[in-house]
Amino acid sequence: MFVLAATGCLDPSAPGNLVPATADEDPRLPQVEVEVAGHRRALHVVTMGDPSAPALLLMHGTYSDARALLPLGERLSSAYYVVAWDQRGAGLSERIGADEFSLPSAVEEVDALADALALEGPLTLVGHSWGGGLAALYTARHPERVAQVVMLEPMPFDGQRMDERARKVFDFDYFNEVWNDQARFDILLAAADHEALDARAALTLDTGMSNYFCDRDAIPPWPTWRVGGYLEWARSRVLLDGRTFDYSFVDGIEAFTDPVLIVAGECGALGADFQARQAVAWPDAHVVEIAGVGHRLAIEDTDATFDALRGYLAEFEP
Amino acid sequence: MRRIAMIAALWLCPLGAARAEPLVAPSSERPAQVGVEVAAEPGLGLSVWGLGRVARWDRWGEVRVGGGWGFPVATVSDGRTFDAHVGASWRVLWRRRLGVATRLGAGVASARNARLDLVGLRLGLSVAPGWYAPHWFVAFGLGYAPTLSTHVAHREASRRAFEDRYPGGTGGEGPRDGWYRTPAHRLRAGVEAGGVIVGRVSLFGAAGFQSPVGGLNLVSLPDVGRLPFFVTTGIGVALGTRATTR
Repeated sequence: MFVLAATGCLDPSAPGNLVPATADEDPRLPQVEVEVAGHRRALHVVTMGDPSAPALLLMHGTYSDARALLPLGERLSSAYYVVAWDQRGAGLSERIGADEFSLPSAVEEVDALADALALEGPLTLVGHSWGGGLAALYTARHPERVAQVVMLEPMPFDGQRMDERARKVFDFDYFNEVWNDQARFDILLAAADHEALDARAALTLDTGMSNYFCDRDAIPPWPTWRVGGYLEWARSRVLLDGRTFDYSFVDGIEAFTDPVLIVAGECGALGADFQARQAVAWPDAHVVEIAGVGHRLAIEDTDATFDALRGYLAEFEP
Repeated sequence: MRRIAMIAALWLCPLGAARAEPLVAPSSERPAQVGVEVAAEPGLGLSVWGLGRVARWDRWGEVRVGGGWGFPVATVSDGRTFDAHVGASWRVLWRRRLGVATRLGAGVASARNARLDLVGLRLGLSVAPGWYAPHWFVAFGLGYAPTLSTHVAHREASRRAFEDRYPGGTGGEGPRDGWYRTPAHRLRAGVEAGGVIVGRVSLFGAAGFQSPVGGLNLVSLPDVGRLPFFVTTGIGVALGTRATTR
């Protein structure tokens, strides 16, 4: 049995074995090619709605891809041309090297995507968690290119706020079963290639290690094609300087004086209470709370999340 | 306090358990031993083991065979995460006390979570030159434990990641269940010791360093870090009648 196992084995790094193939590996996936940080990469893109309608970009968070935001995007597509894409290194988009991820390159990626799709006019940005931070970062860098901003429980806007929140957000429990499951990967399927690391990273979606939920014994699903394990490792090294977080998404945000919307759940460390405190970083931010949901509000209560956005977005005004 | 305990556990508890070869008995005078062991990995492990002598020579030492079964404490509830091993230990002495124990074993390690069922086939080889007195020993241990292959079975949550990725519906291949090649391995070096403390009861302990596993050497994402140490301790009870000669 040992001999059979050692000789007739599948390759964990082969596309589609452990995790789905990415756009560069599977031409059937809808995709565009962009050049960011000096590298040409294939982005997996899903568009919904009338291309002549105002463009709305859906920006997903960490340990995620665009898939979980698609139900919300479908609702928004009645009034907008919705563009949901897997950010470089995440989901079904091409993997990247560690040197390709930086905050400037994340902004560059949004511009490259808009150019590749020939999106005209100012953009409406809807971002969740890290995606909310990316929406803030993009708006701070290019206020003239942004029409409206909605952030769904955005991560802390700067390192100081993140340091203050980190202990509330990361509730590491040594006896957390999922953490132990990840640890056992070391003796079963070492993360020596991207695919095995992706498979391990996906376990994070099932963990209560982050204080994001109303009931940590009943964690809501978060549909995802692929968690980009290497991207998450690279991202953490960009945001962290040693043991403290060192970044800002809102330097220069005072140039954007239009109203922005922050939607937050009732539960969790990044909920409405925290968002109300960090909303002061913007000249004119409004916080709407959705009852009975946590950080995965877009899936936990898609209708309520859409209703909150409909009350803000211009194309839905009566 | 809970946080301090967790940090302490994390620093003290890298990959040490999932033993893939049998222990060395501290006493050669009795033919068999059974015991329990607490091994500190990223997950604390508990195991039960047994060891029985199959051969003994004046010049070529003794050979024992044994096996064990253990599980990580945190995952005991799922009933599908365990380690099991069988193997042999050959101990040769020179000048009655200076000697070397060579251990070879094979094992199975499993893990089950919401996305994957994993079963890995492992080998373990170690040598432990040291001082082996009649009722205690202290040795330097060097061990290598590769995982030959791991069977991966995707569960529903993992399969769903392959659906609806194409416009207009499902399609395409994957995921693939089967035996996967894996570079997972463990190399460790440390000090081990054991001794009879009273009557038939022995205590064991081992501590040392172990190698990075490979790749990014990440235990988890988010990365909470790891120090390359291991610690194990155990207790054994000797069975059978005392040998009349050494």
